[in-house]
Amino acid sequence: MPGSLFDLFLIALRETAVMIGVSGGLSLAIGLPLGLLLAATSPGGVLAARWLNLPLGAVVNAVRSTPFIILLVALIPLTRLIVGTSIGLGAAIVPLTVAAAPFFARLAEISVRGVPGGLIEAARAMGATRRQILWWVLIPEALPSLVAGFTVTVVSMINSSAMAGAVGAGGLGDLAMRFGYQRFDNTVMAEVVVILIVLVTAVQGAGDFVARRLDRR
Amino acid sequence: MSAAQDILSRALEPPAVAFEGVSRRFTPRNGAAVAAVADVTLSIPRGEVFGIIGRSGAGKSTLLRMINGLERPDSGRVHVDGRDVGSLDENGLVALRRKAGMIFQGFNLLSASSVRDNVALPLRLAGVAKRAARARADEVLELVGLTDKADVYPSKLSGGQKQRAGIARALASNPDLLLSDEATSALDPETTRSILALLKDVSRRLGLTTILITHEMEVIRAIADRVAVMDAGRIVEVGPVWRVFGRPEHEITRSLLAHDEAVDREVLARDDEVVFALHFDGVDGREPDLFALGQILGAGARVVQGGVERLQGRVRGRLFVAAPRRNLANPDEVLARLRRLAGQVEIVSEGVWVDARQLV
Repeated sequence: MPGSLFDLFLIALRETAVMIGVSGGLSLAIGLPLGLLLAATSPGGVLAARWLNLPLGAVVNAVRSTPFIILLVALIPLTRLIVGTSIGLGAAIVPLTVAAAPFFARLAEISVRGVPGGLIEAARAMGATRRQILWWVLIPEALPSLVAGFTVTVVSMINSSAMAGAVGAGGLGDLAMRFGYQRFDNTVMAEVVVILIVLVTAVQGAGDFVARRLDRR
Repeated sequence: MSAAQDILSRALEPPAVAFEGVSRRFTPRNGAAVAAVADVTLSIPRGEVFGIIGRSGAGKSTLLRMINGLERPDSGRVHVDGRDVGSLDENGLVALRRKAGMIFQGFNLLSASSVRDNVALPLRLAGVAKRAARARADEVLELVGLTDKADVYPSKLSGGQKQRAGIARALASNPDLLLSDEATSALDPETTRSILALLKDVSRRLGLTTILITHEMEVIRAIADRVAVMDAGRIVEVGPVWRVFGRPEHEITRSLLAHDEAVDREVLARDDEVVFALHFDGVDGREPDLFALGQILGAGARVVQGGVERLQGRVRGRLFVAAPRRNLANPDEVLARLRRLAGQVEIVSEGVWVDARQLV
């Protein structure tokens, strides 16, 4: 592999890592509370509130059903408002987060709803407040499942980030598109795909490992 | 304080738990409202082990959950220590719940916390520092005999050990009240006995008021002082265990006790013998007098089924005794004499009661 191409790989890898790292962190910060809120406000939840659950669920579903490439373009005004520009690495982080946060929120909701109702009842019987139930019962008990859900979210973000090249964000996907697909360089394309496979395998493996360590059931 | 003063102050202090005309209805999604609890009035004094027995769906669980405000009555009042649970705000409820430990059929231990941290949880929720909460957890774990499992996660425990941890957790914040929701229903008979013995022991030692619900009369028999029988949301019978079980007034109570009632058909079908059922209900303190029984029924009389047990020191049970028909020349006299031996005497034949005069 020529030196310049190798450098391109390193740069692309770094760009992907930054995109995933930043929007992954943001998705966690937004998706987790959103998921907890969805679970808590669902019928039978600790804060059952249909008036909040229904619109929240509708928004989450709307975002999740929009194809990422369309989201990428449709969110340009929002991106410009937040990042100040609609192109480059920073600009890709907004649509990536907007797509991943509701995705993770749904997975987090499922995780929290999987905590047996008896535990919540036991905590209530001990005099736990709703906030305490969240922190002492729901999150710790759902943690292995939350980690598994976040792992899946990150993997799907790696996938989506390949399209971020459309707004000039670079990254591995962009490299495969420009050098591999558009220049008919099958070697570069294959190499990028292999790197992506390794990356996804590593993320998934790390997630599985952590989830297993946390799971005492 | 003199004994008389002691009795007086006890009588004046409010009961640990009192229900006043409490009702609760549930409306299932596809149907009419069902009364889970219907007009229950009940008073449970301090220090008592009080059992509530009934079939599943009788409303026991709803009734129990009203004590710590997990369920609210539609009408009526629930008083705990003289305070109306319905009038408590969120803070008041939290304070009440910290003084009322609860144990569950499914144990409900946190899978992600060690046994020690599970037991410490109620204290941590109440704002006790980690170190102090863990120290207290170790104390209660010793009380329930689970010291060596403190660092283990609940998934590594047997059912009995899980319930011991549950009991330790319920006792951690020094409650006045212990609520048990079918705590032994998921356990095998031997483990059930050991858990019941533990409950009885801690209730007495810590002076707890213990209220337990169950569908198994063994549980009531083993530890309760008084029992209420519940059916379709109502309390149909209430009283000391020996009396309710010894002389059940209500059909439901009888059916809950009925597992030992049927007599072998072959025994009943023999036409050279008459089978008598002798009930001992503990009310008059009579016990089966075998010598007197032999004198009345004559040679060849035998016990074919049944037995007696002791409930709170009183004999309760039923003996089925067969006597050769030829010994019973005067059935009225035989019956009259038998009735001096037992609380109630019946003649059994092919599973139906028959008039004594048809015998001879």
